Amino acid sequence: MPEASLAVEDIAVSYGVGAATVLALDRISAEFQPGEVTLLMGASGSGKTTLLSILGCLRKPDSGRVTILGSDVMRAHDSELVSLRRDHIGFVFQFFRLFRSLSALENVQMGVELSGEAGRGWEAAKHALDAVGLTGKQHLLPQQMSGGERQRVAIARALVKNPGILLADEPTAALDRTSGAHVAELIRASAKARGIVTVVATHDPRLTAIADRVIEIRDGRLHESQEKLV
Amino acid sequence: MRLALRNIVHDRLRFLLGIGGIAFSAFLMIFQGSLLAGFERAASRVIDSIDADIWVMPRGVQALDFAPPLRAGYWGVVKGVAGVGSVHEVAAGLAFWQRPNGTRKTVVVVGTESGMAPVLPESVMVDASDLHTLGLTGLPVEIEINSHRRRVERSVSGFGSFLGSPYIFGKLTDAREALGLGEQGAMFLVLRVDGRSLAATQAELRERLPELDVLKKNEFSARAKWYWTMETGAGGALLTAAVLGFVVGVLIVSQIVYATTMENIEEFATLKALGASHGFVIRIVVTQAFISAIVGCAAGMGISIPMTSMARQFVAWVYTPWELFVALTAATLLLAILASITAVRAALGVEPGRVFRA
Repeated sequence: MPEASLAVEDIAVSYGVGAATVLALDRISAEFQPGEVTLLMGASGSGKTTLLSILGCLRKPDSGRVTILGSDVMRAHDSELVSLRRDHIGFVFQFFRLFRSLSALENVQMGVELSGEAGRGWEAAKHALDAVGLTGKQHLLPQQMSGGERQRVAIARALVKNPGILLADEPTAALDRTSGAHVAELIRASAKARGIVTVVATHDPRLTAIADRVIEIRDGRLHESQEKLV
Repeated sequence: MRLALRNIVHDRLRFLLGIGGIAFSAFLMIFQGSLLAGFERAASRVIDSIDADIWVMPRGVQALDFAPPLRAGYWGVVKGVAGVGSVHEVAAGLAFWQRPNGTRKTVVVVGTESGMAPVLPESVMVDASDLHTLGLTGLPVEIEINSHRRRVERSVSGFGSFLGSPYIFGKLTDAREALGLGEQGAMFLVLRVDGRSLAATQAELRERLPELDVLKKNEFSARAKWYWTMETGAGGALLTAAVLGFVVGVLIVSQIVYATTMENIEEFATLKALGASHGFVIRIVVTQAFISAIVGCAAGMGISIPMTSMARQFVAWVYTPWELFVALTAATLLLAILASITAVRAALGVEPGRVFRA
C-alpha cells in the first residue's frame, strides 16, 4: 500500500489540568487515502473537531505523529504549517465562513490570492464557481445567497487551489435537505474526480451515502465501521 | 487589499464618522501649525527684512523689541574691521501710541536708515492689519508717539503685530527722539560684509568687541524665534495644541481600525486558517488604517485652506508653509502606523482553530 497522504499515529490530546483533565483523543491512529471520503462521526465533544483541527494543521497533538503529504507536522515550524494549509488543504465550515464584504467570485479568488497566484485568480475562481453550479451568481454578496449557495461558494473556495486534502466540518448542518444533498454530492464528486483526501466531520447520517469509510469517535478513541456503506 | 477596502466600505457610517474625526484632527494640526509657523515668522520678520549680514548689539539681547542702547563709539570700531562695508544704526523699543480718540496703546518703534521703505521725516508706517488696533480709520492721519507728533503716511503688509504691540516704522532720527535716545543713540548696529568671508568678519568683530553680541542675521533671527516661541511659552502652547490634534487623530484611527478588526475578527481567524501569512493579515489592518487616515487627512487639508484664509482676517500673521502639508502627510502615515498597532495585535492573536467552533 502506498504511503498515505494524511496519517496520524498514536496521537493524544488532553484539555485542562490536574483532576479536571479531559482526554479528547486517546492515542489514536488512522490513515486517509487520496480519492477516499471518510466520515468522522460521534457525539458532540467526542473529539471530532479536535481531530479535524490536527488534520488541518490548526493545532498539534500533545504526543504522537502526524504526517501530511510527507511532512512531519510535529517537527514543522508554524510558518510551514501555514504553508501546508495555504497550498494543500481546503476547508469547508459549518457556517461557511465567507467574507461578507466580498462577492462570491472575490471570496473564491481569495483562495487563490493567499497562495500568491493573484494572476490566475479571476479565471480560476470563475471556473470554480461554474463547477459548483453558481454560474451567473458570481457578483452576489454572501448575504444575498441561500445557505446552499453559500456552502457551494465555500467549496469552490476550498477547491480552487487544487488541494490534496479537503476537510469539512458539518458541511450540511446548516442546510435544508435538498441543499445538503447537493453539497454532499459535490464533495464526493470532487474527491473522486481529483483524488482528494476528504475527511468530513458530521452528525448527519445521510452523509454516509457519500462515504467510503465511516469512523466513529467515542471517548476519544476511534471505532471504524465494518459495514459496507451504500 | 480588496478585503481591507471592502470592510471599510461595508460599514460606511463608522467610516464617515471616523473620517470626520480625523479631518478635525488634521485641521487642528494644520491650523495650530499655521499659527506656530506664522508666529515664528512674525517673531523675526523685521530682523529678516533689514538688509544686513551681521547684527551687533548689547550682550544677551533676545529680540528686536527689548534691547538696551549701545554705548556711543562702537560705530567707528565696527567700521574699522576688515570686510565691513556699510554700517547702519537701528533704534527699536517700546513706546506709547496715542490714538486719534486719545486712548493709548503700547507699540514697538523701529527706526532705521537702511533696508526699510523710505519715509518722510516725522512720518511713520504701520501694518495694514494693525490699523484698527491703532485706532486708524483712514490715512494719512496725525497721531502721537510718546508725545511726539507723527504723521502716518501709509501702511505696509506682512509686519502685523503678533503679541499685541504693533510695529511702527520710521526714520532713525525720529525713533531716537520718540525713544529718548539722544542724537547718537541706537540699540543695534547692522552691517554688510564686503570682500571677506562672513565668518572671518564675525570672528574679528567678536574679538574686538567681546562685551557685545555679534550675530549673523540668521543667528539673531533664530534667537528671536526661540525667545518668542519657547521662552515666552507661546510657541509651546501652540505646539501642544498641534500635538493634541495628532494624539486625537491617533486615538480616532485606532478606535476605527480596532473596532473594524474586532468586528471582523472571525474573518481574520478564517484567513489564518486558510493559510494567510502574518504579513497578509498585517497588510489588511494597516491598509484600513492608511485609507482612513489619508482620506481624513485630505479632508482636513481641504477644510484648513479656507479656514486659515478666514482666520487671517483676524490674525494677520497666520502662515501655512507648504512644508506643513508635507509634515502633516508624514504625521498621517505615522498616525496610521501607530493606530494599527493594537488592531494588528488583535488580528494576529486570533486563534485559527476557532474556525471549527459554531
